Amino acid sequence: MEASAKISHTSALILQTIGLGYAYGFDLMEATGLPSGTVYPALRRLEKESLILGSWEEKRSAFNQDRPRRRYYRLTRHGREALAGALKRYPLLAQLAPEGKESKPVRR
Amino acid sequence: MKPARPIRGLIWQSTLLLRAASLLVPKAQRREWYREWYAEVWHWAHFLLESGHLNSKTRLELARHCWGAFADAAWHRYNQEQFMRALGEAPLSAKFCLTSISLLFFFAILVSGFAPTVRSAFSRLPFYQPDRVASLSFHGNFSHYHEGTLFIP
Repeated sequence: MEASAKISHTSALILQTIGLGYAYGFDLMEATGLPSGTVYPALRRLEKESLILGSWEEKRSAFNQDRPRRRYYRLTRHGREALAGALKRYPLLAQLAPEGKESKPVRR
Repeated sequence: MKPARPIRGLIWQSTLLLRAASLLVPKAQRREWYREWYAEVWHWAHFLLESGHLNSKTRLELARHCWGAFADAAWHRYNQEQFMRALGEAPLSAKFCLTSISLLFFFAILVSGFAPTVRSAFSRLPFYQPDRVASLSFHGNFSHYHEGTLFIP
């Protein structure tokens, strides 16, 4: 079965939001309006299906700013394909897209 | 990496919730799981402080986000989707499906019998002919009385 056929509307929304540059859990919650109890399990599922890839922030940059390291998520090639399929499957998804991360003030 | 003084209490409360939730996470993944959540809470609390948005409403909002850690932790422990898929992939017959639905249906009927509204709706009325029951009252309002409505045999 194709990956896009399996992903739910919520997962597709999260994929789309990650694709727009929102990289960590709380950022995704703020952009999508979904609660943490939905976003995090969805992230685990998407990561398990290799649609996203989670990686820890570099030690040095966090250490220099005296803060704990964050875990960032990004789309994999497989995830981008799944997102393209999901956008066909859920045409209204594009309307739910938050504005791109680049155009928003960045939280440290 | 010590949190700023005004949010130490907030971080401490959140940490408490996260520690409790982390007990649900399998031991092998617990440390990493906790680190991710702690970092998110730490950044969120500092953002609130630095942006001047730290108030009782945002504190409550952060606590609500921390409650979501339990759902996430439970996902790690039970992986519900895996369970549902395993159930869906099992070769079950149509007969099994029909029997399950029938059992569920009869169980629902049985249980609904205990609900007072359902019980009163299906119970027999204490009158022999309910459509011929008249209500008599000394304080009744007869403004809607029409001739021929009141029938006295």
